[in-house]
Amino acid sequence: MAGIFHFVTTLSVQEFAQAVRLALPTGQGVESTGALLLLDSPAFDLRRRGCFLTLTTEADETSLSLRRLNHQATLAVAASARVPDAVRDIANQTMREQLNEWIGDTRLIVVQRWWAHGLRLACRNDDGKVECTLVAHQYRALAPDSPPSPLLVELQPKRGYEHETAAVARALAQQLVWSVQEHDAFEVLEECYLAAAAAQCAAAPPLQQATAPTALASWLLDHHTTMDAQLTPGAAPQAEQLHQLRVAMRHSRSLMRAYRDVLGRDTERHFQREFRWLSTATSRLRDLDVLLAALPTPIADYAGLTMRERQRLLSFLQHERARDAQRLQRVLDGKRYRRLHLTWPLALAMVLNQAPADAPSIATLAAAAIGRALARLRRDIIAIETHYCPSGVHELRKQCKRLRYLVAPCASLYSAEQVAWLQGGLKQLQYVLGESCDRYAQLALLEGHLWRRAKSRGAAVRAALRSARLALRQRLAVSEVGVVLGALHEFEEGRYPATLEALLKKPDL
Amino acid sequence: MKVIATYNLKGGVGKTAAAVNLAYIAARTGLRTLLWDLDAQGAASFYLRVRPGLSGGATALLEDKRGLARAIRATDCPNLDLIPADFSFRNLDIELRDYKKSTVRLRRMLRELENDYDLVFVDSAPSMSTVSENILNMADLLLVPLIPTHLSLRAYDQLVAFRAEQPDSRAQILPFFSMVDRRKRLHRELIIEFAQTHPDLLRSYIPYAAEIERMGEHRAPVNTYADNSAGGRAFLALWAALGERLKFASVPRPRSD
Repeated sequence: MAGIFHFVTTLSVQEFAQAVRLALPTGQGVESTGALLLLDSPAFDLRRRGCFLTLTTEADETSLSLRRLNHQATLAVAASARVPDAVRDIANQTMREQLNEWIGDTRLIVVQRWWAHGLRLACRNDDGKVECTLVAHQYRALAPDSPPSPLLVELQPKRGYEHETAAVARALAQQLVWSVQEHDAFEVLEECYLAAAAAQCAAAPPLQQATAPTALASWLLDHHTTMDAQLTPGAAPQAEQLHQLRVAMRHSRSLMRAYRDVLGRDTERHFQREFRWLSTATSRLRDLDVLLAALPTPIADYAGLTMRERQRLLSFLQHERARDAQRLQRVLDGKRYRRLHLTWPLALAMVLNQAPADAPSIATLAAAAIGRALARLRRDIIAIETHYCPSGVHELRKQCKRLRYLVAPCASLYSAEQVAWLQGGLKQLQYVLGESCDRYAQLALLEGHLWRRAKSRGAAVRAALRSARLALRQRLAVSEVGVVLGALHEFEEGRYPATLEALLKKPDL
Repeated sequence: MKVIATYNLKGGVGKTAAAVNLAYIAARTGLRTLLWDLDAQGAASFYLRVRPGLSGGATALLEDKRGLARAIRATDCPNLDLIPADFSFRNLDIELRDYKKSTVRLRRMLRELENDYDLVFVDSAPSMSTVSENILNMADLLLVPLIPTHLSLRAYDQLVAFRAEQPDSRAQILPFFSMVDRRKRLHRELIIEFAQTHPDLLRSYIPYAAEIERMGEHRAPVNTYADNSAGGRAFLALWAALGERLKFASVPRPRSD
């Protein structure tokens, strides 16, 4: 859009609003928070062309803008409910064609993320008609302790009111006490981002001194990045990618649950629900992957199967995996996941940027959270030893993971050697419990979903499924209880819980 | 791009209110909408808080190839733009006569906006003139508000005859009743009688409602401040009826006020 005026000032959003209201007939204005993602090709072709593509999320509205770097012109703006994975995903024809011409139908990546605090003021004439909109934004790179950018001010004329807007711009320049200067907003953001990155690298504060919101948001952002990296645009995740995605998701959920007061109860409840939904959506595909991995090994659980049965089952499972992968792809392309993908880092950014100065330290909260998780683990171990049941083993395994996930990011608070040893013990226990849980999950899959799906696949496949079920049941009957109870005994004998308790009492501060 | 003109030979029948409110509802559904205020009184411009007046007046508008695009003003309603009225539009007839094919001049001018808008509403002055011929020739649909009175219905018959005399017109005439007072027996009788003989009559009518008269006070479409009122709902229903004819599927739900 031609005729947008840009200014930069060092005033805060509130000071700016106050100054403008004195100088111009504007209302109270609308404050908002949002996120800004900068997109480019993996080779940064857009940057080289002197353009940038941004996705702005503000007050539930998301829009894509293609702009020239010098801010002289916005080439195209389009509503977009998601981050486009590639140029072809952009719905707006003008923008798509322009990008195609410049960089071809290439993949788009998120180069930078910012959190934005904005203010929108409508400048009205004597008739009460809005002639232009004054939009001020302050950005912070999505990283701990990043400095805020200067305030970037845009004056957007309504169509047909360009002359009136020019007069408003002159009035702003003359009447306000702050100096306005034309500036490349993108460069300001980039400088701000680089400064934040440099500050982070140069003097990342030790965990002992970090506040709980800063530490928690940083950990969760790291897991978000891991989750993000597992998803390839337009393709369902492979077995390992899916596993890593689910691991990062479980890490996030454990941290959210343990530090729910830091995140805010409502926020925690909302995102727990969303991640639980995503976890459920991905679980069947993961179970199929585990089954597919277990099947080809002749000495493992399915040793009783003939070679032919094994091959039939493998081909059937591969077909089912492909079908389920397509279903998951639809889920990941769907509105709910796209919303989660956009709002989760935004929520974390708000935690990061709005943390009170007197927030409790992570060292204090971590000791309490780990202590609680250890108490629950011990309670679950006693429950299993008293009354053995598969669902109890499943719960115990989850508790084991939760404890491990809570200890892992806090390693630098305690003796690194002892934490590593402790994590090893927990991992060993988790592995044994995991084998048992996996067998039950596979049995449920073989008896439930796969059995129903096999009804239309002929007698041979059904016979192979029956054999697999039988082999698995035999394996569970033979070794299950003894192995699990043995592992629990070993865990306690190894004095892992007692060591952890001692560590919590004497952190390495 | 579809062009809908609110037109009647008779004045004070609710043409401007219909044009402004329907244009606003269309814009609310996401259609890129333009309202052209061709009435020199500039009532539509007033309702949308846009000051009437064009640089160079009607002459510049007709002469300049980009005149129409330059005249466009954004309103405070998203997706809705306006070409404001100018007092010189009272002489538009005289200006038009200087052009070859004067009766299709405005249609040609609108072509330059073909890709910019989905829908154009034209609010016209009550007259039978070269401008009227232009309106009949550029509109796809002629929306005719009728008050249920004998004089108004007589004017409708005159309009139908006038339309029949325009060889270049492709406009479909759609009448609807406006400013209806259901308490008046004459209104009820005339509506029933007219509906029996005119199958094209839109089955939604606009009541005589205080909220609609308050448009002048609010200087905004009725659905911006009284969406759930009788008047607001009537315009939503009228848009729905119109949408069926034009194959625009979306009808916004009224917001609670």
